[in-house]
Order: sequence, then C-alpha cells, then structure tokens
Amino acid sequence: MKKRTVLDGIQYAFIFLASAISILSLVVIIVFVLQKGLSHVSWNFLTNSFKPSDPNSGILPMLVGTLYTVGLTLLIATPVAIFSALYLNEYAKESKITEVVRFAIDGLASVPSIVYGLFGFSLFVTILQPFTNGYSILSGSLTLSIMILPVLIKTIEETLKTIPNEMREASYALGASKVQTIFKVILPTSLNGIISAIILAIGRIVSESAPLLLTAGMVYYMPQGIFSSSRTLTTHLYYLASEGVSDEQRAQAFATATVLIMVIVVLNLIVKLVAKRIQKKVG
Amino acid sequence: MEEIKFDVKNLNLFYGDFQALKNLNIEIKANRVTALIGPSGCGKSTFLRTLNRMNDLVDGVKTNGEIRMDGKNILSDKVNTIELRTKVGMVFQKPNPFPMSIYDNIAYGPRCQGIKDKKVLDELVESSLKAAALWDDVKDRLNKNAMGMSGGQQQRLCIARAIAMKPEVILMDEPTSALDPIATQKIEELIDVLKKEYTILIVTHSMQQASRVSDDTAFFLLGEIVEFDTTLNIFSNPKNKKTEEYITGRFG
Repeated sequence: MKKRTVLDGIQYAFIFLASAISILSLVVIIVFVLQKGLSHVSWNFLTNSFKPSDPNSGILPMLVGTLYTVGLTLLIATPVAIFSALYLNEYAKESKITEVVRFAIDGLASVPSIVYGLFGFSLFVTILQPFTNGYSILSGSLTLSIMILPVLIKTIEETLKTIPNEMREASYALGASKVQTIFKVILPTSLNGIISAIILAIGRIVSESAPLLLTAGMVYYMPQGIFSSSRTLTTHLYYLASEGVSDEQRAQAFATATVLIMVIVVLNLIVKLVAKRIQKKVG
Repeated sequence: MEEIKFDVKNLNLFYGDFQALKNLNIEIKANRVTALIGPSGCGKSTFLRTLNRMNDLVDGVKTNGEIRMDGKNILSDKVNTIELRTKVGMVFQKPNPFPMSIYDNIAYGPRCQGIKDKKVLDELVESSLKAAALWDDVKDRLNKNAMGMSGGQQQRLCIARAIAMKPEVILMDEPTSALDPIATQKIEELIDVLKKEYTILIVTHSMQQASRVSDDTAFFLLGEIVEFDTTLNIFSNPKNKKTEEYITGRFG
C-alpha cells in the first residue's frame, strides 16, 4: 500500500513536470519575444512601408502580404480538402484506389516544406509563369495549398469519421438524398472539426518561410493583388534576422515576431467567431 | 378482410455469402401493429430494413423476391428509394436526433422535399409534435438543441420527425430498448394511438411488449418466418413447437 502511494506520487510528479515543461516553453518564448519586441511595435511600425536603411521603417506591406497569402491559400485548399475528405469517407468504398489515395496523402504530409518550395518554383513560378506572373502571391499560395492539403484532409476526415452512422441513417430514412445528407447533416455536424483543421492550417501557412522565399519572392513593396510578388511577415523576419546587422534591425525582427504572434491569435479568433455565426445559422 | 400493405413473396437476402433471409412470405395488414420477434440474429431487423430499402446502404447486400407495397414491387430497380422512404418512415433502436434544434429536426424531412413555407413548416412541426405527445413538453423550447432532451423525449422526437413526412408506414427497430420503463410505457401508448393512422411494424426483444402493443406477430428464427398469426393466437395457442419454446422463454 505504501509503495503504491509512493509510485503514484512519482508518476504524478512526472506528469506534472511534463505538462509544466510544455506550458513553460510557450510562456518563455512568448514573454521573450514580447519583451524584446513589444516596445518597438508602434502605430508607425504597423502602418509604414519598409525601407532597409530607414529606422522609421514599418511592416505594412508584409502584414498585407501575409493576410493575402493566408486568405488565398485557404480559399484554394479548404474546398479541395473538404471534398477530398468527403470522397474518402462518404463516397469511396475501401479499395485499392482509396489505399493509394491515403498513401499519397501520408506521403505528401511527410515531404519537407523546402521541397514543396522547389516544386512550386519549377511549376508555378517557371512553367506556369504566364498565368501566375512568376514570383507572386498566387504562386506562393498554390504551393502552400498543396503543402497543407494532407493535414487538412486528414483532420477533416477524422472529424467525418466521428459522426455516428446513425446520423446518416436517420437522414436517409427521412427521404433525404446523399447530397442533402452531406450538406445538411454531415458538414454542419463536423463544422467544429473543419474549423480546427483551418486553424491548424493558418498556423502552418503563417509560419512557413522556405517555400515562400522560392515562390512568392522577397519584394518588400505593397502587394497590388495576387499577381504581385510579396514578402510575408515570416520571410521578412527571416530576412531581418539573417541579414540585419544593426541593433535597429534586430529590434525590428523581434517587433515583427510580436506582430506575427498577434496575427495568428487574431486570425484564430476571427475563424472561431465566424464558426459560431455559421453554427447559429444552421442551428 | 383488411387491406394488405406489404405482400412479401419469396424474399431472400444475402450478406455476401451469408443468407440472412430465407424465402420469406408474409402479408402485413394496413393500420395494424405487426410485431417481429425472435432471437438475436434471426433476421427480423434485416427484414424490417428491406421495407424502406435501408439495406441498400450496406455493402454487399443482395436481395431477390418481391415486396409489393400497395401492389407495386418496391424491390424493383426502378423504385425511387427517396420517394419510398417518405412513405415508409423509420424509428431506430438508439434515439438519433440530429444535433440541431427541435424545430429543425422535425422540419428536416419536409425541407428535404422542398417545403420552404414557414407557415406550412410551423404547422407541420406543431401537429407532428402533438401526434408524438411531445408538444406540451417542448413547445417553449423549440429552438433548443434536441441533444439536451432526455432519451425518452429524443425517441418521441424521432417518431415526430417520421410523422412529419406524413408516411403510410412506420418501421420501429427496437424503439424502446435504450429507454427506461416509464419512457417505454409512453412510447407504447403512443404506438396504440398511431396505429389508427399508420401501419406499424415493430421489432422487439420483449415478449411482453409484443403482446401489449401488437395485433399480429411474426416469429423469426435463423432467417425464416416460423409462424405468423394474430398476436393473441401466437401467445395463447402457438402452432409451432419452436414458437412455443421461444415465447415461454426456453431459448433466445
């Protein structure tokens, strides 16, 4: 009895320690970045354009470029992912074909992002240059779309799997067609899972730098649309951290990181708010 | 002579190589409650699900034979299963309301048929809930999520949802097996009222339930119908020895 209590105590200590490490790491990183960056974040910093030698330089073009990239990538990838997941879970019978599709998805998920960058560069920037204007937000978003597809499909498919079959039967038994069942029962029921998938995807899009360096370019002017080349906050951070030598530029790097974290938090909140709205509408 | 709703002739059903229904022949009468009884795996639920073609959704199921509903063979490839299911409603073993409001649950079927008029839907929701003896319980919270109701209420909601389609037949697959005795009693009382307007088939594991709610009873064993007669005869004067053994609880 005594021994068991002691073992229990040790196990509890381990669990506590493990959880504490992950929470502390997050807190330390955020505090570290905010402490070094927050003082440099000002209205001017957020609304000025960037000039490499100007200490009053801002990050507005990168902020806009980031939002463009996130928006366009989600616009391309989410529908494709939803329909792929629906195909795999609702339409396809388990067969050699679905096995191959699943294998391909798992394979895609484990490809390093720089490889996507190289692929996107050869296809979208070079071969499809007449359509994508070479280095552009469009090329970058197409590349990132392919990159985040596997995670999106997997997460959405997992959600679809958790919907009990009784829901589908209930719908069919009421004379609903397959399409009606999918749009009125299955998709609304899996909305929360789809939202989680999108939030995960936003995190990945915002945090990627390598593929974007190769497909969207490093131009620091304000993007004029999806055919403009653009720098995102992350690629800008990469530039500042690797090429910035002055204290001023290092401070800008931390300030950019601060804004980056804020952007992720704000985007997540927006997605959740939108989800709540939709949920209310579909009941 | 009463009207015959389903005339089943030489019905066979296979799950892959396994024959689950063997040459069934049965006439289900309209506006009566027919109970399907028998031990687990005897094919009674499978038979029930042929009547609204729910088995179509299961991979590897093959059927042959005929089920004539009002004279028309519903097993034919030409039959529109969507239309069939609006006429033959179903209530499942586990209450399965959609995770939406009570109102939207009832309006789901009619909306799928293209009814959009709010007035028509309002009336349908009210009349269906009244018919399922649920209106007084929920009339003040129609916009609340149905998942918050008790199990018994959920099952009556599922019955109301089926009624909203104005079906001719309601299939019930062990509708009270997940419910407590009081909720069960309410459902049984409801069945008694509903049979005036609908033809009801109920699969049940409870002999008492079969004898309480049904007019006719079919006893299934290993995919065959052993005996089919009025409930009174089946329970008081079974002709087959197997039937007698089953209803007296010697196996099953």
